[in-house]
Amino acid sequence: MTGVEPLPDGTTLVHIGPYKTGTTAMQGALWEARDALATHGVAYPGELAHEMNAAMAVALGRVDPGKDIDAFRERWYAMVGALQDARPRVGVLSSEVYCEATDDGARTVLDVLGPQTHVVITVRPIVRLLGSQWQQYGQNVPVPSYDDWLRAILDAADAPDGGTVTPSFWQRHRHDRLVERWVGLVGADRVTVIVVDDRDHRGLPAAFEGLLGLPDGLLRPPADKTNRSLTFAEATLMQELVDRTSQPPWTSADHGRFIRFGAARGLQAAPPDPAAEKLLTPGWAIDRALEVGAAMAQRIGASGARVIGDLGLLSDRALAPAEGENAPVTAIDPGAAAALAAGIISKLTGVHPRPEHRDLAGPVERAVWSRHRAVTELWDAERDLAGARRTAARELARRARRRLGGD
Amino acid sequence: MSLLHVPDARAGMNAFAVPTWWASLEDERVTRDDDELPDVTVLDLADLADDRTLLVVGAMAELLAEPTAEGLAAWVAEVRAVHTAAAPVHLAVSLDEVTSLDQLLTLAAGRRWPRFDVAAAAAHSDADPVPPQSVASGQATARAYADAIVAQVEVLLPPTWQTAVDGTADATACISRALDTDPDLGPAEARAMRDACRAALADLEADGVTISGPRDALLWPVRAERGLVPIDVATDAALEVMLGQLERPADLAPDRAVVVPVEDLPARALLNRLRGSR
Repeated sequence: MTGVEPLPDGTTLVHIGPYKTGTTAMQGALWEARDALATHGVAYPGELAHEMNAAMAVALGRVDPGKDIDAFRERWYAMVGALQDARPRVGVLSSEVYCEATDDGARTVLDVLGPQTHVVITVRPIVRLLGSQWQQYGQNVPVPSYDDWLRAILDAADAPDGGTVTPSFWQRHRHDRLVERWVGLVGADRVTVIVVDDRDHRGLPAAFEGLLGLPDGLLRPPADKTNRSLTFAEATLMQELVDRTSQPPWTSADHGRFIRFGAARGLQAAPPDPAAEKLLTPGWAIDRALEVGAAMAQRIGASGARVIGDLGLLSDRALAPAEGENAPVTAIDPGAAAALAAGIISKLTGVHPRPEHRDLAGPVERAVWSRHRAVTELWDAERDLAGARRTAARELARRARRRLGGD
Repeated sequence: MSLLHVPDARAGMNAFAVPTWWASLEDERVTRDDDELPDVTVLDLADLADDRTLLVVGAMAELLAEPTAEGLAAWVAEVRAVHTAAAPVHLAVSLDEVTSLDQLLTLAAGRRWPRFDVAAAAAHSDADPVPPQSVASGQATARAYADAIVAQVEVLLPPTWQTAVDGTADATACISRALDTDPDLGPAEARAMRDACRAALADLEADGVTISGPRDALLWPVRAERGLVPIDVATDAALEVMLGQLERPADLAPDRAVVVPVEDLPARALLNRLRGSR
């Protein structure tokens, strides 16, 4: 990218997000280009495009329900160990999870990665994050209506702890505080802020190409239809489901596996009903979010971190989402309703018939595992029986041949 | 040893529980003491965790004398009348008639009938398509749902075809039950009745009543809204997918020999096994 000075050789670039700032797109682009990156001395380690739980284990000291924290902590250290053994020109780690790192977690990440770590923070206008973050929270935990949530969030924009409703919103998205925190941890000369302009789809990959010293056009974010925004009706449906599965008899392990990563993914994978209304943001909330964005831009500019892009975008009204207020919905297109259930079913069919179920599996997963395991054991028994029959037949044939030969 | 209390047939519940049926079973676990427990047959069961009172019920429309708040309250009162701390009620929703003791005990255990059939499941693999789902004629919205779910479901692993089929069938059946094409009530009354049924079930559960089976059948059906599926109905169908699996597990022998292929073992677990227990 013109004007972006590449990072020095030996650097480890840590992209810490935050959420909804193009992280999935960049992780996909880096993952897809691993072979090409290697030819340019750049390494993007891991077994997945986004090693989310490995990053969570180290940076947050927890993992998703049902996952083994020790295993994911080991995975993170193995990933970093592989990076250090390979000694690439530039190594890259990317996870939005790092933006929420505890003090201990951040210290561990930086200590293990060493003094040549460079932190990259991608920022987008707050006004464009409100709707998608409300939807995202609504896929995980019960949340108030969009209007009530906006009031709670925007009233708490200056609260030091992020307020009481989904406090992680401001922990993630006071981008100015995030930048100041990491500048405090590593120094302003080791922090780069990239301002994402949603109208320029090449802007973010080009900024990474510039930092990594790569040829123009090498990083191409894959088309990701599984991460699309939900329509208002879909979001309402998802929240009804989350409300009902966030309490007994449902467990957080089953909720995480089959609702968050099943039902929600099913909805996102299906094409949206073209007649369905998009999520609309009230005018008062747009005004307030632009004010907050302007204040954040000022503090980021004063932080001393390198800035790629135009901080003025953070308060640019031209980037505001569709304005208005949604009328309540009580019903949904049959295709979307089916997608919700199909997402769960498809996720159920991914429960592996391993010899024992996972220790941390929820009751639904255990029941499904038992079914898959029973089928597998029956197939194994049938194979063993067929094998024994073949062996017996071969033995009989051998004896017959010997007898005939003896005659 | 725990006791399963089965009240005699009443108000659309336990329709099977009549003297001739009990007599036909000729099972020594079945006892009757009209002086001690009038109108109740008791089964002495080794594998029941606690005493419970079983009420096998069908769809709500069959349970209510009239589709009104008063009719619902009367049914709830019937349930509460046999619910005690010593033998709390288990409501087993079964849309099929109870015809065997095996079936009755399966329902009493909070499971679904018929049970998971491993041989039938093993006859298919992920290469087989999920078959089209049937819905009652005239249910255009349910038909659209059924077609969409079959088109969208993926079978990810070879032994999981039956899971996909059961989940698809459970969800479609739930939608089909919920969307009434020939309603007794107007749209607003049906909606109010469905909400009242849901609240009544929540109250019963809060009081310690347990429910198994396709419990959405205990909610009054409503009409599709201009070809759309009501949000709560779509949610019920999604939950029915998971409930159907939860209540239809496979019974693996607890002492079955488990051979763990080395490649399936995490390195740490393998090391622990090699080291032996301390």
